[in-house]
Amino acid sequence: MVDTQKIIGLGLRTGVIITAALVILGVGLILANHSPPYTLKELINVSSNINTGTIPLHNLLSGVIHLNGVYIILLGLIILIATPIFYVVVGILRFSKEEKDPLYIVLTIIVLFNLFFAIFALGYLIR
Amino acid sequence: MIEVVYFTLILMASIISGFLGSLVGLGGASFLVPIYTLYLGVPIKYAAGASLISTIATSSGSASAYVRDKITNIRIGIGLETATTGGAIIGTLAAAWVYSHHLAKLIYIIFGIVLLSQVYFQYQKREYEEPVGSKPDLTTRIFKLYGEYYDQRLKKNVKYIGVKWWLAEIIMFLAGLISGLLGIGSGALKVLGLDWAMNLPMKVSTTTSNFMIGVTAATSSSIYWVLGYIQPLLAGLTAVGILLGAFMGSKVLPGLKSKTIRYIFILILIFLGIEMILKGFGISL
Repeated sequence: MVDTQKIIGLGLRTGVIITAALVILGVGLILANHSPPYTLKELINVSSNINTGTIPLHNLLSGVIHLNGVYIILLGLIILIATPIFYVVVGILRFSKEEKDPLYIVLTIIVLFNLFFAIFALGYLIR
Repeated sequence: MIEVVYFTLILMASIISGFLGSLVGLGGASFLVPIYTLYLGVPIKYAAGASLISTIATSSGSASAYVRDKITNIRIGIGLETATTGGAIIGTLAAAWVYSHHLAKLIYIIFGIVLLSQVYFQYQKREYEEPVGSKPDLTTRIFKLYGEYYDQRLKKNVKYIGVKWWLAEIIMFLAGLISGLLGIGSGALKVLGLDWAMNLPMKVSTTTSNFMIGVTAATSSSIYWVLGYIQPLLAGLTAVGILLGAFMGSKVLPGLKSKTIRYIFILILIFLGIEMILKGFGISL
């Protein structure tokens, strides 16, 4: 039997370490002025409107490939947000395969629904 | 030059917040948002966004060890997340409404009040106690609210049961609401739901609460993301700083015998809470 608690613990830790590494790399790239079209001066302005709402996310992949500091940090943040989702999914597997517990399968699916609803729908609906 | 100042101030503020947060037993956000908004001039929505992201980092970082040691009750945690994630959605929508109507001062006032009440609830009953065995109720059976863990201090397996799932569910909804509205983990309220309402052992309550914070904050922060409350550099630096600070705090904590030091930090927290309320009313000290 697979120990889901071990998997969850390991997954959480891995997610955090990857995020920290990507953020540090991204900060380095930004300092090296490798974050077009955003300049260091704009990025350190706490009142600027360079934020997750204005940075086009569809550039994420090419930004990461071209080692753009801003997108590397964003990738780190996305992985961080995804870490808890990972353990909810593992939770479903555990309640369905190991414990065969229909009530908790339903509860976990509700949690996952709320999460996905928030991620993929809600922000866009109210923006 | 200005970039050196920025990096120094942001990193120092977030490391200190993470450090003090772990020493007083509240998350880093309790210190972070006031320091950012009151002293560093960060707009409160960006402070809340950065704080929420860091909350996921500290929750996942410290949860991993407790989950592995099987102190965290994953079943109870995930079950109650139905309420925290629902509350987080409503709270985030409320925050969006408040910001779009230029009522950010409301967030300052509510933040201050929540900060002060968290301090109160956290320290109301501080002495270590084994939960008195409560009688199982209907929800204990339906939701299988039981478990056991190995207690390092007592050197034995502790078996426990939980009661009043419905009451915990209501408190968790509130916790999620406040988390989404203010961008904090609201761990103190989650502990209240697990420890006071469900009567779980303190150790199980704190670790399970910590485990739950990640999913709650992931829900809110994905909405914050689309609404543009997250500045990548600020949020990234803050998350790393708070992680570092919290890690340092966890190393210092076991050796920290003196209660006085903790009380001083709590006084700082109370001061920050009052300042937030005053700032909301347009008064600055």
